[in-house]
Amino acid sequence: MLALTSRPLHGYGIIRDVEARSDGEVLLQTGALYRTLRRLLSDRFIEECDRPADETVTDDRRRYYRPTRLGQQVLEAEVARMSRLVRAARLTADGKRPRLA
Amino acid sequence: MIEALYRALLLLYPAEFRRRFGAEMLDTARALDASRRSRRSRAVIDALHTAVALRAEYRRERRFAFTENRHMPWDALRRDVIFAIRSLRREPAFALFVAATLALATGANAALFGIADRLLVRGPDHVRDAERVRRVYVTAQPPGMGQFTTAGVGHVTYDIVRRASSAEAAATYAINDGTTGRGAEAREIKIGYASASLFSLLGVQPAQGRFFADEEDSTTGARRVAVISDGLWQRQFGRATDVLGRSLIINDDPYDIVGVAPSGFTGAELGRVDVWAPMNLLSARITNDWMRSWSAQWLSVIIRLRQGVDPDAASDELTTLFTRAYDGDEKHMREARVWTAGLGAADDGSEPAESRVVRWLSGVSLLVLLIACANVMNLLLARGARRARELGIRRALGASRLALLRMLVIESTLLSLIGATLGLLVAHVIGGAARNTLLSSIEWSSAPVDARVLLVSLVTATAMGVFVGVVPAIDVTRDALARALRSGVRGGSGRRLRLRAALTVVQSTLSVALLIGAGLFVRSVWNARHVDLGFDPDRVLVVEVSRASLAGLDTSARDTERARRRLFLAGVLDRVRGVPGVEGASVAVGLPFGNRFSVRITVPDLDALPQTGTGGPSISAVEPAYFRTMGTRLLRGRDFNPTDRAGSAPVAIISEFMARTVWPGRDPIGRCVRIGDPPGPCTTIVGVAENTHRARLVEAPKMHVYIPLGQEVGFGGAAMLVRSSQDAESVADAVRSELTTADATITFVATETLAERIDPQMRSWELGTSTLLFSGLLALVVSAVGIYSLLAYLVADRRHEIGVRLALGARVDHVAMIVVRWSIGMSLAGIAAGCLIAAALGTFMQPLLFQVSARDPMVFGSVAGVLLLVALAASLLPSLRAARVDPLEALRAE
Repeated sequence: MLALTSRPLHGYGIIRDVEARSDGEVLLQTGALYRTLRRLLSDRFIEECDRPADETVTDDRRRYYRPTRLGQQVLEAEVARMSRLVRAARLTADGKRPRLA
Repeated sequence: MIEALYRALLLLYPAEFRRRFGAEMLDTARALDASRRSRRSRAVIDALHTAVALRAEYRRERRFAFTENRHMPWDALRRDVIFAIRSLRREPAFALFVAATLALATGANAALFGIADRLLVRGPDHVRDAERVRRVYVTAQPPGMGQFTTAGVGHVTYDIVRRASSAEAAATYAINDGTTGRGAEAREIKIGYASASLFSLLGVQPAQGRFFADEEDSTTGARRVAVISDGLWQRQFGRATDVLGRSLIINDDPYDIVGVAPSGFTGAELGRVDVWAPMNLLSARITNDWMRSWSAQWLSVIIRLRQGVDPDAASDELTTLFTRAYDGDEKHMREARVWTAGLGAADDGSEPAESRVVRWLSGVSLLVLLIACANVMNLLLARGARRARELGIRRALGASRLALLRMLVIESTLLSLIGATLGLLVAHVIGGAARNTLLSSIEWSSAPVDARVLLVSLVTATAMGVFVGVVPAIDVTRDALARALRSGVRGGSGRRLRLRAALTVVQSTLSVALLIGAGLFVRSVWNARHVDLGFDPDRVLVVEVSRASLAGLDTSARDTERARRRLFLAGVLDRVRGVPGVEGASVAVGLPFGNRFSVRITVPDLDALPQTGTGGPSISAVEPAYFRTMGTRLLRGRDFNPTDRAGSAPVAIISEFMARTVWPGRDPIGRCVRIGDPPGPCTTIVGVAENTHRARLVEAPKMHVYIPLGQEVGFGGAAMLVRSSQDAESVADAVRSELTTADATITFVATETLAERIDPQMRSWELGTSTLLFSGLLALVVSAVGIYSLLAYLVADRRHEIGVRLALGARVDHVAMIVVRWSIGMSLAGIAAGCLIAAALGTFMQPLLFQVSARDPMVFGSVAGVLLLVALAASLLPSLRAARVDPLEALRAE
């Protein structure tokens, strides 16, 4: 989802983006990627869109995806939830009493 | 390499997923592989793992599909349908039986709808504003006779009707048999001789060319022009585009083809017509004064009423015009009433027997449909009980009751649609068969399953599916949750049992009623087939020849040829008698179920013949072997012999009824009658023959006179009669070739048994019999299955109770008898109700039957017996199962 926030991407583009974001730690495999895409599509968190104008490779088979409004909201909520979780985890690790969200 | 492997792996994925993402995945996998960032083994393992995971996901989603997406009806509907198919596949026997029942029931319905649509609703094709087109009838009452109505009128009447101001147009036509082609190519055809006004009156447009015009139908010199039917164009000309202007041989004369009628055009009637020709061409074939004579009455006249004219007012006008114009001799005709009726009416203005029977049968087929519905409902209730657990669990998992209802109704609708689809096949077969055999005289312009039939079937099937599905669905989804949770307790509530028993009784009732109807019709047909007609219809072949026309010969040559032709048939008798299989042969003018010639008879010492109520005497001229050939018994006196011929002393043989009527208690042999008007010489009666039916299966005895062939005056048209030792049809070919080799001027030899001439009068009974029998048997099978399934269900439901009884010492045969008693009880209720219904309907049914009471005890009794036997048979297996219940096991199951 995060990979798609800046601009629409196609399947391989997502793999590369995720790889870059994780500094090469995470290499998505094709099957896992598309299983996730299907899930996101059927939950209507993402949708298919036209090829972005700035895309240089023009391959008709490639389909591009971008988040829907709903997807965007869910993402934001999720990011917020996780950051609270992370904050709580840090506080615990620092020996302070966590203030649970 | 990776691509092929990946392509293969993709096959493991759910098809839907593969279609959506397959190409993209392949693309991505290739790119990933090319970048060499990932190991191939990882890719393969990932692909396999995804396949397994996806399959699991899809399965899970499908299972709960019916609870999701309630706001997306089409998607939900699709899933429900898929689900229904899967659920029906789990019980193929059930699905198959239900679909087959519905197929037969809807099939019979669709077939009958097709027939009723043509006979009762649509009428002849290509008639514009059909409600204003009406046929003209004349009703009169001759002295001493019953009132008669006829659609056969004279040309004089047509001329009168043409002048009526209430008619926008009038037309006349006569449909005759004829031949086309010559020699071996000759075929029998139906020729419609019509006034040129027929086509414009009906409002039909030719498919090609034109119809003939008034000038071509003039009384002085009608032109030999013909409009051929679409069927003839197909058969004879292979739809050749240059057919217009070609020549067609009709009755040995060449006609110019000027037009092709549109497909399905049959004029104002429903029967096939191959060729339309100007009415006035007929005058060449009929006596010269037919246009002015009041006694030539074989034309049909139709009119188109002016817009807004009331039919009764039109009848009054027609009657007034007719009365004023009539200048004939018959007093009763001056008081005749001229009136009109719609095109659907029979020759005597009443509703035709076929229509009446079809009306009845439409009712019957609806009954069958109801039976089928009751049966399917019954089975669905049983199935609902079997699925109580499943439904309960669905409910527990969050499916709303509405969702369950929808699911069940969709299942039943699906079944019903499958049934209806198969039913269309059934309709095609049944409808086709009925048309070819029982209603062959009607031109069926469309296939047995046409668009209208299709539409009606579809609508019926959907309605039926919802109808039969809703009641059981409401029942089985009631308390589904609670019932499922009380595991071990069977789902058979008393209410549902009563509902199912009632449905079963209804089925038995309806099948009893139908079978009684079928039985009555079977007896009618049997009786009709065994009426003593006074001759042997099955073994006597009627042979009639058509010949080349005499045009082109001069007068004297024509007379010689006419005389030769008149004697020809009698001349070849010996050759025909020599044909193997021929037992006897004769020639006659005036046959039973053929041409009927009325004659005036005067008896010295009697002022007039006694009035009989069955009309005046009729006459035939016959060759000596006639009575032996026909199988008519001579009761007294002698047969004709070869010395009785033209010029010899006039003799006659009379029918028994005439003997009894004219000389009651006295011997008519040797007495003198004078034949004809003015009376001829004294004709001596030499014999008395048994009565024969002259025109109808149902007919009171008539006065009839036979005279030797050659002594007839004023009537003609001989036919040969051939009596065969076995099947009459078997000698037909041999006789035909014997005749054509004997005389080269013969263009066509028509052969048909007397039985075939009678058959059209049997059709309505045969139609009734076959349909009722089919529906009755279908209903019987369906109700047998109904009884069986209910009993099986009862036994399963009461296993516990039966076990307890057996444990307490009940005898096995006693337990089995309980089941049998249930069955007999239900069928007795059905028999009683069915008999009551049949008896009540009897009054309406009676006119359709032939010499059998609508309350015939034999039919009622045997149907009751059959149903009881069936009920016994249906209870056999369940009662055995009840007897085999093991008390220990039944109790342990709790």
